[in-house]
Amino acid sequence: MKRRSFTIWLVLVGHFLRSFFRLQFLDDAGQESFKRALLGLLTSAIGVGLFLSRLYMWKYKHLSASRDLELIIFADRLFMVAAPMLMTTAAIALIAPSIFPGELDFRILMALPLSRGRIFTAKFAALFMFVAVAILVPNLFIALPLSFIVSGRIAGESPVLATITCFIGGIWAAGFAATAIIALQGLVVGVAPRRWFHGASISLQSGTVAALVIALPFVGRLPGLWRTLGKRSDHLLLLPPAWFLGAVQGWLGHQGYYDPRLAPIAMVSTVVAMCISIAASLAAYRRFDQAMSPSTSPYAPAWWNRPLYALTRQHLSTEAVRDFISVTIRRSNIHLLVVAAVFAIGAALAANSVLDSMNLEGRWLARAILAAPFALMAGSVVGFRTALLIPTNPRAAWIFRMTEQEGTRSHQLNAVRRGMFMSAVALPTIWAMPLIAGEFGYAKAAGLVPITLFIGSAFVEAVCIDWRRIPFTCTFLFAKRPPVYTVFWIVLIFGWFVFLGTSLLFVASSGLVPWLIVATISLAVDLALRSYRRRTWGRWPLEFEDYLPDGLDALRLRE
Amino acid sequence: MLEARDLTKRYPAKTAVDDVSFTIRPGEILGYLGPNGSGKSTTINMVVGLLAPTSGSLSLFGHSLEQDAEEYKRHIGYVPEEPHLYTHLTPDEYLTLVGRLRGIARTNLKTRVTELIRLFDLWDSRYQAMSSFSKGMRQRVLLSAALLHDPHLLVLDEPFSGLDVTAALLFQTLLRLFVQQGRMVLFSSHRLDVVEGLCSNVVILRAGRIAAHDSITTLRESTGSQSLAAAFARVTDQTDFSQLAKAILRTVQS
Repeated sequence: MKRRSFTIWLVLVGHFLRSFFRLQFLDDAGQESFKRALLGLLTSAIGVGLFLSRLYMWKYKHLSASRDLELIIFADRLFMVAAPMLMTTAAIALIAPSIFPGELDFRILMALPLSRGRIFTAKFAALFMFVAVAILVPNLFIALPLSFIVSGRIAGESPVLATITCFIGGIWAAGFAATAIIALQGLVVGVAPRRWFHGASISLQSGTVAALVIALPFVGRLPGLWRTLGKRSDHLLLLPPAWFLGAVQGWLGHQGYYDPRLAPIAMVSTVVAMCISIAASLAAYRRFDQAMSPSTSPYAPAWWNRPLYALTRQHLSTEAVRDFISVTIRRSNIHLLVVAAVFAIGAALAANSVLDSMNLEGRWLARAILAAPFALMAGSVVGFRTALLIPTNPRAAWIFRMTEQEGTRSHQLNAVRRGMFMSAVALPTIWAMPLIAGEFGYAKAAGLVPITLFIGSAFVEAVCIDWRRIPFTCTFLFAKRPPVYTVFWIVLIFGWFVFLGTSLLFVASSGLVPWLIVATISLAVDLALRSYRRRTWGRWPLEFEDYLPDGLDALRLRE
Repeated sequence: MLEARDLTKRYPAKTAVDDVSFTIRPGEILGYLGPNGSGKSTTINMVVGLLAPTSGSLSLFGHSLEQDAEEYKRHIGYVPEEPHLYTHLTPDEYLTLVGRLRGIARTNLKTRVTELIRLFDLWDSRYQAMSSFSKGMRQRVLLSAALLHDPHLLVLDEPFSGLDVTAALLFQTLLRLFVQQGRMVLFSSHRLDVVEGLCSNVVILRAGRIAAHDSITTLRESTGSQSLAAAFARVTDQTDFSQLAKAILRTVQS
């Protein structure tokens, strides 16, 4: 009997574990492609680990005699703790809404002869396995080889002991990051009122992912910041990876380059995160039967929406798709997450570029500031476009298929261009303008607004030129092309757009005549692209099924 | 008038619908029946233009689906078998979306949406996302959406699924009034008692082919049956269920 009961529990664990890797918005083909994408990510992690190992071997070959070796090793070890910590946090943040059993689990599993305790223990066992993989993969494939290369170079340090110590420190740090996310999600599930649950969960997940993306370039720069870190700045107290490195340094017996307060902070914060996650889990356990109560508050239209909508009247078909886009992005976790994450990439690039240029002479600082709106735009446009590609209940798209008409097709698609322009060009321009005004003055900044908008509009036209989908209505296949190919194109487009936009704005800022020339050129390009798009858009039927590119399909491996 | 001629749908592994023809005249509710997997939903998907037939033709008031799909679809209201709708929208938002896609003028649309929500007893939930709706409530939203543009042909695939008794009775009355105005209904359902009460003619499918196509009275007489359910069982060779029922019980009790 006990054995049978254990088998049932194992089945539950397997079910919960698989559900972490399942995206509800995908059809069968999409799910297959998602598995391919995950494999691609895993191999990329291994590839990055091997590449960094090679880089570090080369670096330390030339560093053995350096006077600042201990400092450099400290900065590198901070990177080795921070990078896996970041990856683990990203993995846990992506599954955050499924950390605790939810409404669907309640409806299906509680109808079966399964106790609440068994459901929760199975869920936590599955979560433990997922977290273990999320902690071990980056630490094994990235931190461990790097740690091995770096260890044993400081006098009196045993290479094997130092490697193991750093590895344990990395595991601890990543474990803390996972526990912190579980604690935050637990607070949302176990403590927040049910009516706030959906909004709080979306905000937490999007906020975490956006923060991680913004932190990414900073983590990448840690090894180069060894001089700053060597000053024993109090800022290290605000840097969670440094807490755990502080503990590692203490274990290894190194006296310099770390604040003795770091290790106790690591210990206390871990204990606090664990206590909160345990308490929140208990609260979620007690509230499980409330999973059935409505979790969304009513969406009554706001009073200020009416005059706003009256002012922005468009073709009926454009309005239909515009409102559909706006409501879906606001209410869907995954769509908001994608927009937030890719927008954060733009924000991180812009912030990084400006921070990098702080110590440079005026000309380079000016260029970095002028790059800010374009970096934001590039991130927002790519994020917005990606979010529009992700389907929401593709089977409900029958209404769009039934009402598709040649005469209204281009109006429907126009909502995509307008939405992209407003949220991914106009808003970033407005946000970046105070920064530009701070450097160039208000009058000049205002003069640069139209050119920024023309360039942004041309970018949107280029991105939309072959668009044939009503947002969220077409099935979606992940990793249709090799990840390296996709990343290469995104980086190339990002780089070229930001470089070109910044250069044009820089030229335009130098005087009236250059301003006129740049404004005319950018407007002409925008109009030409717009005219081409108008001639071609709406000629072809809308797409409701995603396909593999011809090159891959031709192999017909599935037949 | 809807004319379906020699409709056939072939997939690599099987023929789902084979040479099916029928006509619906103004003022008629045609019952479209068949066991699971007989090709009912495939036919309906072809009739509403969501699935292209392998061969055969469809025309509505002379507008061919193949040659003038937009005009053909403009006159159709459709309720799918499963309540596939965007559940993150409220009923108000969903009906407005459908109305705009159908090209209904702004002033008319607002009034129609508000009234339909009120009449279909969805008023108290009009700002609630449909993810929290019961199947019956979602079905009422779909029925409202199907009627919103005042169609000439209603294609209904299990429209009463999940509806409570009051809503089902209201909707049956509504369908009768609807066809009295010279409109048409293609009505697919497993609820044979409802079909018997509503429809004048029926088509019964078996394994993708038409097994019977007649008025309900003639069908009952020709099969010597008291009810449509009995006639259906005869036509589809599903007369003796006791062996199957016994086998099921044996399986679960072994």
